[in-house]
Amino acid sequence: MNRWKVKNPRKDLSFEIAFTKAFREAKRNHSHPARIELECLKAQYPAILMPIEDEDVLAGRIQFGLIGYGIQGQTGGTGYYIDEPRVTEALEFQAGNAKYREDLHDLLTFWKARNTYEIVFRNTPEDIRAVIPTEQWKTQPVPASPIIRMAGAYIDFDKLVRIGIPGLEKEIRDELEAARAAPSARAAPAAPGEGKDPVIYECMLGSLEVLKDCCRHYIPEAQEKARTAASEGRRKEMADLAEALGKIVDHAPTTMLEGLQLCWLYAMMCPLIEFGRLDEYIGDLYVRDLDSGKIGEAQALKMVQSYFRLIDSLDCETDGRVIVGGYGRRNPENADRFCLVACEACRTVREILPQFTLRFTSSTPKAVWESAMRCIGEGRTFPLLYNDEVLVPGLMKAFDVDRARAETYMPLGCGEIEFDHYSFGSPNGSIGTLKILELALRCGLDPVSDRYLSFKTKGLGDCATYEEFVEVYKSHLRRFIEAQAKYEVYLYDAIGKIHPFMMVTMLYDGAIQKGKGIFAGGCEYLAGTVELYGNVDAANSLAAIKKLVFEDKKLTPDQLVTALDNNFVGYEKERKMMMDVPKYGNDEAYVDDIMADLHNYLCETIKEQGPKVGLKSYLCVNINNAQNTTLGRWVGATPDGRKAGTPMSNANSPASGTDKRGLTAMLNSIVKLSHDNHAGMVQNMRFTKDTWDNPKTRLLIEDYFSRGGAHAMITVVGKQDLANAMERPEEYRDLIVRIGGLSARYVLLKKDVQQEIYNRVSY
Amino acid sequence: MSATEAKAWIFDIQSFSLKDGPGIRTTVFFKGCALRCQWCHNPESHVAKPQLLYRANLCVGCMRCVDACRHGAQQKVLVGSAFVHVLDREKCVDCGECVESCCYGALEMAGQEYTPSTLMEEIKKDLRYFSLGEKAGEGRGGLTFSGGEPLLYPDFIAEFCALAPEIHTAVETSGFADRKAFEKVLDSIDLFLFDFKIADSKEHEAWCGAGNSLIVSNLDFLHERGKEIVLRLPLIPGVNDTERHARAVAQILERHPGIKRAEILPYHTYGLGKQEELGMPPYPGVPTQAAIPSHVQAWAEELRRLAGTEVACL
Repeated sequence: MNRWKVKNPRKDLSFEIAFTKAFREAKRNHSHPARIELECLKAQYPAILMPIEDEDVLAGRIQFGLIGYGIQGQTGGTGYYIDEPRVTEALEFQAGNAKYREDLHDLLTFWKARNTYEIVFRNTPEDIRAVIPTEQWKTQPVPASPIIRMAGAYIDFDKLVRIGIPGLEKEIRDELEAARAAPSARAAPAAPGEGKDPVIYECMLGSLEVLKDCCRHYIPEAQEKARTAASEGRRKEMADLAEALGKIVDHAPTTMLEGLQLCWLYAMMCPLIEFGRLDEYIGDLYVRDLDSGKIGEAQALKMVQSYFRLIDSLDCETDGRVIVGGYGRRNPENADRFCLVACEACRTVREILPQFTLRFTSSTPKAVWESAMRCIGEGRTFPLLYNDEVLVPGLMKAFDVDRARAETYMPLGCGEIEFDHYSFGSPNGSIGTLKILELALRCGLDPVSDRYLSFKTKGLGDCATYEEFVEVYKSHLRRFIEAQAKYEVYLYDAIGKIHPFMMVTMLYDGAIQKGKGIFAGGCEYLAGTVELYGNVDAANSLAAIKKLVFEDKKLTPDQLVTALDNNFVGYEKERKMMMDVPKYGNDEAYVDDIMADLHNYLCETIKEQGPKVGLKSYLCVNINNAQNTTLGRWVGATPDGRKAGTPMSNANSPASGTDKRGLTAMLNSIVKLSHDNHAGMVQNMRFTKDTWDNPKTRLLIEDYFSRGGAHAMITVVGKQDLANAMERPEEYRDLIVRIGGLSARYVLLKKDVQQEIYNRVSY
Repeated sequence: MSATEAKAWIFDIQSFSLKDGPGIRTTVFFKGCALRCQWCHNPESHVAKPQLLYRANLCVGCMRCVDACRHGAQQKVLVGSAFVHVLDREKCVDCGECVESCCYGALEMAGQEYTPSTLMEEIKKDLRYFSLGEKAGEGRGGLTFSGGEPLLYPDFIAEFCALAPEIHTAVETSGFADRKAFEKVLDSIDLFLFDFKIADSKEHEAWCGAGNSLIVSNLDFLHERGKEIVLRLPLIPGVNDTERHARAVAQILERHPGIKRAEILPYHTYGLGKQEELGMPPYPGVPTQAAIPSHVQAWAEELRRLAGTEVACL
């Protein structure tokens, strides 16, 4: 659970107790999910908003409760949630009188069976549960695991800025009147999720009242600071803030300050952690303020810096995206001007978040590109680079959408693609393709837990040819893919019945008109994604099996599996043979072709599931975070020569230490994979400062993009830096590394993750 | 592979080389050199045959190599109460059989035999990168033959260049090679990166194992033939980072007006670790610290003042 960055966090659980009381009452008085949600919003906001801090020019620090309402894990939990371990901790260690302790006991027992996660997991249909029985992927060997959350809302910030709260209210009121007037509604009140539902509109309006309360909440505090702050500059900032907060309650924003402030508070009420196309939704206000002389560049920068710090304060390391650039913006000229100030904010706010993302095209202004390169060169790891020229046509095919829609693509979190305020593609499952290979070798038996974790099939020894074994492997993969796709639909349905998520729904295309919660029919394009881990190791393993068992016949199937079962102890010679088979990432056709075949099988098989289960699309992502390490812990020795428990390769990057032929060959390998049948793949590159500063390196990167490279996450860091950081962590607290989707302070990572990053080649 | 093809021992192929000539290059390191410069950072290049590298820091003491070695070089030795692994270099014949038994990268053979066509297979992967620099004004990339002394393999180089005359080629040479070797590759090489280490021949012999008269005469020869030459200057603290050497270099440049550029190669200590891996005793007079950047800059400035040639620090 996150540790939100607030100066003086709440000391006790009185908020949690009050929230629980409100929830109880709401359940007693209402049956409609929207009414219950509204009561919970009222209980949560502005109660969890925290004071303005000295470095802030925007209001809205926040400390989510240990119990509360949310949409995805990083802001506490999905739906109505409880952080049971930390509530228990409070019970065991916090001071408090007898009544307080009774209340804490009450929290634990009350929420045990009532939190959304538990309800949803408990009710998983049997046919799905039979294949993916547990979500405990951190502590158990699992070939595939459900992930319970609704991750990745990208709301229409641009609309919010253009029409403001009053515009939104008007739109809802019009629908409410129509719904009340509709004969069907009067004759028989529609059940939630069916037809036009006046209740949801009433509750949406109620939610916006809560938002206004949040704005007003900060006015006295800002006014007080405007009177008492030490410097005149600070007094002016706070006076401006107080005025802006008052203004946005009943006007659409007309200044950059108002725009940013409104978006922030709205986002916190969803609560969501992706911050959209900032250049599009703030660009016009920025240009207007600047050109009219209302603010100067320095002031604009300070506001964006403050926005970025607030995002960082959420401590949601795998999310917190801010996206700039690319096709499909309403106002490219103004947005591009804003890009420069955003890049500068990214360069100067030297924190982990936001995950600043640049979408670029062949016509991205040189100044924007240069400032992005400068930012990367300073070791910020941002912006993450997304190549529209490759991605837009690829996504049209993968998602079956037109070009205009594809141009609105948004990478969320670790890199799953969605379309701005239109689609929802929460990644709700993961599949460990290397783990599944381990099962396929042994007829479905998992050697780590000594249990059958898949159906019983032929094993390696029963296969006469390599192709036959690959078919066996694919049959296991398919089994888990099909279950995960069904799970995705189940999860949307189950959560949609409990939660309308009104703040999100109101800013998704067409959802107000439909009057349905985002997961109850409100979303135009309900999609899904599944995360894959271990593909590269699986491809390397297949290459070793093909070569050693079937082609060169140096090992019998039995010898190979025995060596693995023994984690190569006493079988070092066999291990060395396996290590010496060509590895992906060296521009070797032998294994690169196997990788491309596996990649396509996975992408296409997953893509087939969408129509079958009733989703607009269902696609895989091969992103990276620390799961290559965590999941790897429970995978035994594998035929690529990898020892049991050690990390798997990260996303599509070559397995650690196996890209021996250098950067050029690695790039040759990675451009062989297709980008028109998945929803996001991540490519990491690391350079030492010295190499990055050489203009020839830039040529290489630009060439990579020109020949089909879709994406790059570039870390500029010295290998020596990492070695030093392990030895003298106190001197390297500001060293940020990316593990794909995750930016992290290196010295705070676990030792084996640190070592894994270090082992990866730095060019 | 044709039976008549030349062969060469190569110990490394480095793609994305940014400092061995113009553009983006691939550098091929040949094994074998007649000089023994004490500061050499590629000691594994000295002899023209495969050699065993042993990286003690990667050894986990599994002792698999002890069983694999037929010559008794890989040994399990009782030290105090524990067995440790020891490599007896006296007994090692560099056969490489033990490498197959090591899964931790502690044992590796330096030196693999190539023919021009097998090398071409490797280089193909990098061809597209060679042209990138040219478009962007960074120069046309290509292949750099380095080493060791690549001119120990003139037939190999000439044959390779004939396979792909369109590739820009450079040779990084000590200059200490037979004149005939230079003649053989003269037409196929576009650029010579020519080392100049010490001006006084006796001193040269003391530090590098041979005098420099052959080197200087080869430089004269290339210059007379109008070849493009970059003069490369290893700058070794306590050996040649002197004003006297700067003046000597300036004189060389004055005598060879066709040389438009000099490149300083500041001393670094990466070679020391490799000496250990090869089991070579360290040279006594070689500094254990890398050249200090500010000293390098000052020396470069001095050279610029004296010579008026473009001087770069790599």
